[in-house]
Amino acid sequence: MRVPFCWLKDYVEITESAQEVAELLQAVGVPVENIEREGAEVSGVVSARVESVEQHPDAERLKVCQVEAGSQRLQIVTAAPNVRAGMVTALALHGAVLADGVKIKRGKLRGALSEGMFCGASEIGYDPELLPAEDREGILNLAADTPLGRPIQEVLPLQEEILIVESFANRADQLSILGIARELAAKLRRPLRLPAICQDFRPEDINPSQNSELVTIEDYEACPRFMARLISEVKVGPSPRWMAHRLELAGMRSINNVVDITNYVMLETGQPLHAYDRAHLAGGGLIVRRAQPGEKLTTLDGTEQTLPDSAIVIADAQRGVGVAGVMGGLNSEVEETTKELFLESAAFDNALVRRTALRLGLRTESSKRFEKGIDLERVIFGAQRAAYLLGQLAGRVEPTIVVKSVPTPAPQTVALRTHTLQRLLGLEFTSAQIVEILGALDFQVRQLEEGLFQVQVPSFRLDISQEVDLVEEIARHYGYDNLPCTVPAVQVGAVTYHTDAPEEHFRSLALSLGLTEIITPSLSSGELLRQFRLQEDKCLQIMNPLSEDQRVLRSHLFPFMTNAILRNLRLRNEDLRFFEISHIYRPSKQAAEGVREPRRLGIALSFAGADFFNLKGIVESLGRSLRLELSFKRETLPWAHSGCCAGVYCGETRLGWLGAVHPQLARELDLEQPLLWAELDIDRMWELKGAAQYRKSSRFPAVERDLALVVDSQVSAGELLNSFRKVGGALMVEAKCFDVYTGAPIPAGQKSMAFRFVLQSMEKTLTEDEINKLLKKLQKAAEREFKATLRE
Amino acid sequence: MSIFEQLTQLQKGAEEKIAAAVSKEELEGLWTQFLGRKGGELTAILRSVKGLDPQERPLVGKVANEVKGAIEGLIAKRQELLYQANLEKRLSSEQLDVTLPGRWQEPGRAHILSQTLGRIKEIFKGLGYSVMAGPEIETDYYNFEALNIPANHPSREMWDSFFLRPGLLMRSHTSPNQVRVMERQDPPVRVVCPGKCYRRDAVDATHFWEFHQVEGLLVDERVTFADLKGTLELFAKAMFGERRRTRFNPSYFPFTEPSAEVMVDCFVCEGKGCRVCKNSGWIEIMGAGMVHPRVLQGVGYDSERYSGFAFGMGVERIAMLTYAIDDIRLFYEDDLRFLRQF
Repeated sequence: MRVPFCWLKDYVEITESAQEVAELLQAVGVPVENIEREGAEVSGVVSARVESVEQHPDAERLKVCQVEAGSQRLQIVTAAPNVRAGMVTALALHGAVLADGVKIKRGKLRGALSEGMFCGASEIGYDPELLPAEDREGILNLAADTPLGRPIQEVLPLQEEILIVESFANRADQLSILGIARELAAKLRRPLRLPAICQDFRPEDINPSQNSELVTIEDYEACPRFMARLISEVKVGPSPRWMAHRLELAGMRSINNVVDITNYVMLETGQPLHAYDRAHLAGGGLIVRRAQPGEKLTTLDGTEQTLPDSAIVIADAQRGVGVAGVMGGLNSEVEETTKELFLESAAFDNALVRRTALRLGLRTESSKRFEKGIDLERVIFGAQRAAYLLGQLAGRVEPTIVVKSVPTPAPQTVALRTHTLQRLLGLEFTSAQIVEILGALDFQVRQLEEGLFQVQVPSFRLDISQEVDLVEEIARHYGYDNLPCTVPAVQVGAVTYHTDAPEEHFRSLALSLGLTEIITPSLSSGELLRQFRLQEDKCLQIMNPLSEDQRVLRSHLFPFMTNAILRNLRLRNEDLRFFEISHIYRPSKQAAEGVREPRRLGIALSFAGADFFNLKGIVESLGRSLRLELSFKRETLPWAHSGCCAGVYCGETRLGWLGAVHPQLARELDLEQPLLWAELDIDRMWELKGAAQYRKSSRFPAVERDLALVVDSQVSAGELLNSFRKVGGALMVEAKCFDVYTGAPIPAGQKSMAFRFVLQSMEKTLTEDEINKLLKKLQKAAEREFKATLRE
Repeated sequence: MSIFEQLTQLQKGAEEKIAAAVSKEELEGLWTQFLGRKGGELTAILRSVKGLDPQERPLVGKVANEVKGAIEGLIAKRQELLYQANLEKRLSSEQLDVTLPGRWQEPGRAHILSQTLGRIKEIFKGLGYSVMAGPEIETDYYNFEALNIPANHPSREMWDSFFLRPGLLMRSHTSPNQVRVMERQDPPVRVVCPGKCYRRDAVDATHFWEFHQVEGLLVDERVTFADLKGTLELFAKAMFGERRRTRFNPSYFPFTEPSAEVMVDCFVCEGKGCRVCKNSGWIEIMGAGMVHPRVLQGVGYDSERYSGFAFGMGVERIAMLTYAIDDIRLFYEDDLRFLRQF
């Protein structure tokens, strides 16, 4: 909300600067985002008194004046017709810069020295309309007691300061300048000055016994209170300049005196109002009802709206004339010819107004205020304030007052214990302090017994309903910065748990393996999934995305990691070794709410020469770090090369997969260097992790022996190694395949594989004989199980 | 020629040849030539005199040993000489340009957000907090209802959320974890809950539809607003430097009361006013407050006995402030040139 500083000063005496006021407001929880300044930049213009005026000897229209400007006495030559001895005016000194950028210099006018220039309002950028009518022409005529020699900015508000104030969702009262002034007054402990209102309202005016045709409420839940006043002998015309100026500073356009007054009072009190041309109201009264199905209404902005069923309609005897709380109708707008006004001030159900405004896409100043809640007292205060101004500036206030309303509820009371203040704020408050702070905020405080207060809440504080709300009031106005500062002691023996342990383990390991972490978005378009051969219907989807980019929740990491790779390749970053740890999201019949989101570690490698085994080595390292016995089984995945893709297992449990990009996909992506991915379920790996166990190292020498075999090309190293480990038993410390060869002289359809064994006994040094016997057994096993032959 | 003369001659011949030798290999050849056990010249001389007077034998042996020792000594000396000469040459020929680049592998780097989050977690772990990360897909109950944000409440607009279906959404803050933690355990509670959150915000330099938050919660007997202030002041100093001052302004969150926004004096301009602090000298780093009694009651805690404070901060925001990063989208673009700077 834009709060003109000059306007705020109407309600509380302010001697502080706008910046100081902003800080004071901030400290009580009225956030001031910014201070804007509007108006001209002028320098070197001061207040000065004209001491004498004499006719210029050589020019009929010029006068030579002696001027006092504080400590200086100067001679000024002027052509201003209204100059007279004794007047205080604005004087531009030598070197001054005026609003239009013109620089004033000392000089001679027809031979007479002039050491500056007198200024009129427009020359210093001041709106002449803001001056009394008789002073708008010629040079400024300032008050006689104006201090002399002061910069003109101190005398006239050339620049208006506007506080840009945010309001919290629970503070309906903060959407009004008066509400903000109330906080400031409380903070400064100065009285709040309420604006003038019509004083003719009496409590009996609510639900008068005689039935009035003026207002009919069909649904009191939708409209708990509706007040009407009539203004006759209306003259619609421009607003007074001061009002138009303030509205403009507050960000509203001035339209005419009637509309401006309703807007002015809304900004001032927070109560939205509407004025109808009564001549346009069939039957002369208004009915408040819910919208009929499919009902149409053309709002003031000229659009024909189809009203949602949440809408509350203000109607005359024949048709709708406004969408309650949102916008008036075009058909009853106040025009220049309007003679009689029907002024509406009402309270509407906040949820209905909010829904209607959202559906219509019309978040108006009015709906914003209604959405935050209902203050029945404000309905009357706002109407009486508007009636007062309309009576002053637009017409005659008729004595008729009609208020249709639910019974005024008793004021809310909340109990407050000093013990609670102590318990939550860590500070003792005295009764006097409590009464002072709450009293300054218009709460009525009654002490029931020692340490117990009954606090009556003012009607506009919709946010206060329980004790802790009052604790905040006290804390706010005592000052958060004045409250003590302590650190709770760390509890000895408290148990801590860290669910980020798996993530941190894999992160630090991935870093030590030279991988760089990336974070990619979890939401994507369906297009991205299809490109990577994933099925959209197996993914969770967002009902209300802002754009197609956010429609689908990811079921895999690799498409996103690939995007990061492609983006880097375009930037000529070519050695890419990435990992990401993130949730993925999948529908699940078993899980609560039908969704699950396991944590995944994704790896993506892309650099010249990268192959399956670079990646497999990394995966194996990850497995080893948790003492997992990983195995790899060939697998087919639609996005991976069918020959270079494997499932990763620990026993029978599948932990994930790894593979190279499918060549067809690589072509579609314009990818010219290798790309490999792995995705692992880190929580499952963490569950299976083995505990460290101490095993004695052998004191006897280890021997290394190689065995080269020729086998059918379908036979895998893994199968052979499994068999070797079984045969080798405890003596086989390590077995690995270190070379695979195909081609002459190996016959087609066969391959040669070279194995290396490390053999060692815990009990003794192995003899040559024992070693050879074992090798023979290994070879025989390979012959028997895999038809292997010894390579010559 | 007597055997002694032959030995003298042998020694002389050896001396000449050794002095002329220019390599280690040559010297090894000379050793074999003169002293080799099979076919060496010394052996040959000794073998040639058969029938030597037994009385002379000790003397011949002694002289032969002396000759052998002398030749070996010369070879060793020559060898050392040659090595030293060669060493000089080798050292002078092996002068490296030490400014040429080393052979290295780019070390892995944690994402700047992980690093920032890591620092935050470390500070709170040191204060005895646990770490608990809840689900990103949340129910309306945890994301709103249990946090004192009833349906149709205007404050719901503070969190514009992505829904999977009515009642199920991408969490719009990490605060649901407050409720999840308290449901799981009795007081005392000390926990931080980091994680990704989602909001339907239009993307610009300071908004992305995904971002990371860290939620903190402490509940116990006799926990006060003063404890909140002290803890967060401690955090601000640990995170942004010992000299930082903190300030607390009243704020509004439905699930805390009293609520506060926490500011630190601007560490970019030291409070003088700059672009980062919008000339105010202060930077907002998080929201905080005393846990609302309705939230405590909702999980079955006795709100008259227990009280607590909660806080929440944006990890992106903290990282952006710390490193003066001006665009939140950089965190999700994964450009190596960006990632490697941290």
